[in-house]
Order: sequence, then C-alpha cells, then structure tokens
Amino acid sequence: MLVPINRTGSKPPLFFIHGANGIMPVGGLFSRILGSDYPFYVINAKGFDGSPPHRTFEEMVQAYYEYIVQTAPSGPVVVAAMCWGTLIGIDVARKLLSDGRELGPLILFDPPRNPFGGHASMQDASWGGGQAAISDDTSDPEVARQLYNYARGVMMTHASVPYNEMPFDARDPKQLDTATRTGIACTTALSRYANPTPFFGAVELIINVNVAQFFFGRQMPWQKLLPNPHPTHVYPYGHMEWFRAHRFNTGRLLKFILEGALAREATDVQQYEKSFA
Amino acid sequence: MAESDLTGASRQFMLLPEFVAPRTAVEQTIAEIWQRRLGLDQVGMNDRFDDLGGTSLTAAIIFAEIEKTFAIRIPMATLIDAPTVGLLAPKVQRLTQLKESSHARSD
Repeated sequence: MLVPINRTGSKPPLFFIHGANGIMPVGGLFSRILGSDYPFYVINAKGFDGSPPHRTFEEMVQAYYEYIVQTAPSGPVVVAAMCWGTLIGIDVARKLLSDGRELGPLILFDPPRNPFGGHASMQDASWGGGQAAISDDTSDPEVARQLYNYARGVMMTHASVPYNEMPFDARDPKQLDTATRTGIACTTALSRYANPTPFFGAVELIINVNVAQFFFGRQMPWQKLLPNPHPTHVYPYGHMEWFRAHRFNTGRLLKFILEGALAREATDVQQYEKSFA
Repeated sequence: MAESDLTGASRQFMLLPEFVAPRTAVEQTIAEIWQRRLGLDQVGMNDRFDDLGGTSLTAAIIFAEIEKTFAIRIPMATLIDAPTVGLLAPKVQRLTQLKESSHARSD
C-alpha cells in the first residue's frame, strides 16, 4: 500500500518500507524533518484496506518494486526500510539496480540481529506441519491463536501512540481485525523468507546499541549479507525508541544521511553548498 | 560466496553468552523445544530468543508447543519480558503450579 506523504520536491524520492507488522508509523514526521524538497512515500503492507494481503516475501518485493517504478519511472531513488522489512528493502534495491536505476543509498533502520533465523526454522524437517498450518492460519489453531493475539496486541499498542500514523482505525473492531490479519500475513511471510543473498550496493545501516555487537564481527550474518564497507550509525537506545521517544533524532539522522549521500554524489561542490545556503 | 555459506548462521558466530545448561525438568523441556524449532544444536539458559534467529512465527509455534506440553495458557508476548529459557522457565513453572493448585482445590 503506497502512502504518498509528499509528492513534490527536487531531491530523489524516498520510499520507506514497513517493518514486521506491516506498518511504517512515522513517515509524516520524517517527511516534515526532511523538508518539502524531498518527495516521500511510505510503503505499508497490502491488506489494511481489506484487500487480500501479500502471502510471500517475493510478492511483497515485486509489488513494492512496481510501486517505485510506477511512481518514479526514471532518475535516482532512495529506498529505506525498517526492522524485518529491511530484507524486503534489500531485494527491492537489488531489482532497481539490475534495471540500471541509480539508487542511493539503501538505508536500513534497525534490522533483525539474525537475518537467517527463518531459514534455520525452515531446515527443521519436523516443522513441515507447522509450515502448512501457518499458510492459512487454520490447520494449527493454537499457533494461529498465538499469532492473532500477539498481532492484535501489537496493532493496539501502535495505535495507542498518539503521534503514530496508522492505516486503520483501531476503535473500529472490524478494522482492527483486518489490520491484525494483515499484520499476521506480513510477519508470517517475512518469517518464512529463507533466502537472503549478499547485496553489494551502497548501504547505510542504523542499528540500536543493544545489537551493535552482532553487526561488526567478520563472521556476523549482516557482514555476510552486506559484504562491502558501509557506514553504520549506532544510536544509544533500544529498538522501539528510534520511532518513538527518539523519533525526532532519527529523522534528523535520516536527513544527515541523505545530505551526506547527496554531497558525495555532487560533482559540483559549489552547487552542493548552494543547495544548503 | 556460495549461497549455502550464508545459511549457516550458527550459534558459534552469534556472540552468544557462555553456554549454561538447563538444569530443571522445565528448563530442559523448554530448551529442547527452542532447539528443535529454531534448528539449533543447543540452547543455553541465557541465550536470547532474538539472538538465536527467532521470529514471530517461530515464537508462535514454540508457545503453542509449550502450552500443549505443560497444559497451560501463556502468550508469546511473554518473550518480551522473558526472552531466555532461564527467564521463561520460572513463568511456565508458576503457571503449571497455579493450575495444579487450582485443580486440587476443585477436587
């Protein structure tokens, strides 16, 4: 679900992909911090409006790629993504680069510590029944109940934060139910994704202090997934805080990253300096 | 790099804390469920679920199995406050005891 926040501006348009539960809740705030010259789009999971959600990781990648090329058919674009959605962001960026599109940079907000976790589960042969159960949420009612209650709680928690921009009205039980089912579909598709492969494009990582140790060793999963050198920003608070209490700081960091990227790409230094005059 | 090299994000590369073996029967049972569902060789008392590659989906599957094994109700959101076997086991133990005492009163 493409949510245009700001359609105008001379800078490359930014597309910000949701996290595990299908929502990117602070797009409006980030857009305001970036300013009116940055076109800004949020990509939430499909399904909050009652349409059938995407059922697989690959469906999401293809759909989000199409959102981007239809919205910005040519020229450079910026892709950002959060939490488990960073894996989608990587594959969307990969498709754009394979088209010859200029991309810069791919900005990953607080990815999961271990992007191969889902694969470890998929390797467990005894899990075959569980996999079938999750696909339609009916074969194993106890797993479905756990997922539903958890996703509903997450949706209500997000919706209770007054500044969050939610794609549904949590006061309406029907909309809350639809949102919960969309969240389940999203988190299930992401959890079942089994094939992260190395990405060699330009990346900037933003990670929280609690997981920093998992990103810097040579054997760490993310170093294998992003083999090229990439700037990594470590913020001194926990995962939820980057889009809650410290959301303004995160927005400013996003602006810092984008301005730095533009500066590095500027061929005319004077022109660059003029743009910030 | 071959794709297969990426899929073995095994415990030894994850900077997990020193392995502390589960001791009680509840700890051992929970650790065994985590091990099997996460596809790992071992799970220690202080290993965090997220560090082991756990996802919402595996959490749901694990908690459904814990509920079935111990005949209790415990939501997967418990992982937020109890992200290790060492922290989760006492909660499971407590729920089991509550259930048993409740049964004893009703008998």
